[in-house]
Amino acid sequence: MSHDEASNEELQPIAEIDPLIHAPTRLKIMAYLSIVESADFTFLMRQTGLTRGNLSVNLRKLEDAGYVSITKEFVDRIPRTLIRLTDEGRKAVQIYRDNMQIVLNELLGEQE
Amino acid sequence: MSQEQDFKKLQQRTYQSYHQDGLIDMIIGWSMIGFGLNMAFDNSAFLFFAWLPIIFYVPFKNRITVPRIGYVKFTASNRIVIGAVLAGLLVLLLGLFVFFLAGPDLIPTQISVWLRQNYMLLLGSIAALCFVGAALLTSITRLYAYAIIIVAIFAGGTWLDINPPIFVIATGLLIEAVGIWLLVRFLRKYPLASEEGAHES
Repeated sequence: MSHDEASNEELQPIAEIDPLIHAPTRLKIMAYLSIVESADFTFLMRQTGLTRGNLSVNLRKLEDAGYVSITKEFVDRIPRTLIRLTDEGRKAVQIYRDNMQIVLNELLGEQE
Repeated sequence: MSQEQDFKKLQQRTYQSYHQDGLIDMIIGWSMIGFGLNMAFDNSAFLFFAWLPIIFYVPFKNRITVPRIGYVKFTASNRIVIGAVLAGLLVLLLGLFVFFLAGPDLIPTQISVWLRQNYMLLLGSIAALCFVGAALLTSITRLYAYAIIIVAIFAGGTWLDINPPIFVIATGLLIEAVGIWLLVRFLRKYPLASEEGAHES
């Protein structure tokens, strides 16, 4: 096996990294949602530091991918938009973390 | 790099962020003042007064905190674990308190006498341990400071032979003042989000 082939094999998990989650803005959103049961739009905006528009666009992309579910409810007649990770979204975060761990281990191992 | 650790840190920061409004501190302070007044006047109406703020916690959270920093529901497993551990710790420590005070036959007389004379120190230590347990579970670091303050004030009060209700109320007032200061800081830091986009999806 040539050096190039071996290197390609070691870095194969990079190809498996989900580009939808890998984008920094969406990674922030997914990370916050993965540690809570649900959060509303304002909370995610405050925590991630994203603008309203940016958060809205990225949430839509995640919703289209089936990673988050967005529901509206009324509390004391005030509308609240609740966002939560779907089972598919939680699984995607877990796979992303595992793949990143493998990639970083490979890269850091090579540096030593 | 440990991603588990990073997510844990993120979770801790989220907890701290959600409890920076001082409401918990105000409830703790208020309750201690209520217990102190109950001890001072031997009137159980003050016990009701002590537990009263717990009823208002959720409505206050919804009116003050949620409109400013948003709403979050932490995972059920976290809430159950925190609640169960804190309840267990409290029951265990109160059990120890009763054991030390009511079971003089089971422990050496000298220790029993000392504990009866310094029961407030024992009670303060139990409260401090509860604060440490809560701090460990919730990552609200100022609870460690409250644990130290309680032990210091209760030890000082016992040593100086001050009437116990006075230092219970004093501790309560101190924690209440911290809570009010945190609330004022929180209100200034997070003005109300505009109606228009606050609930946009």
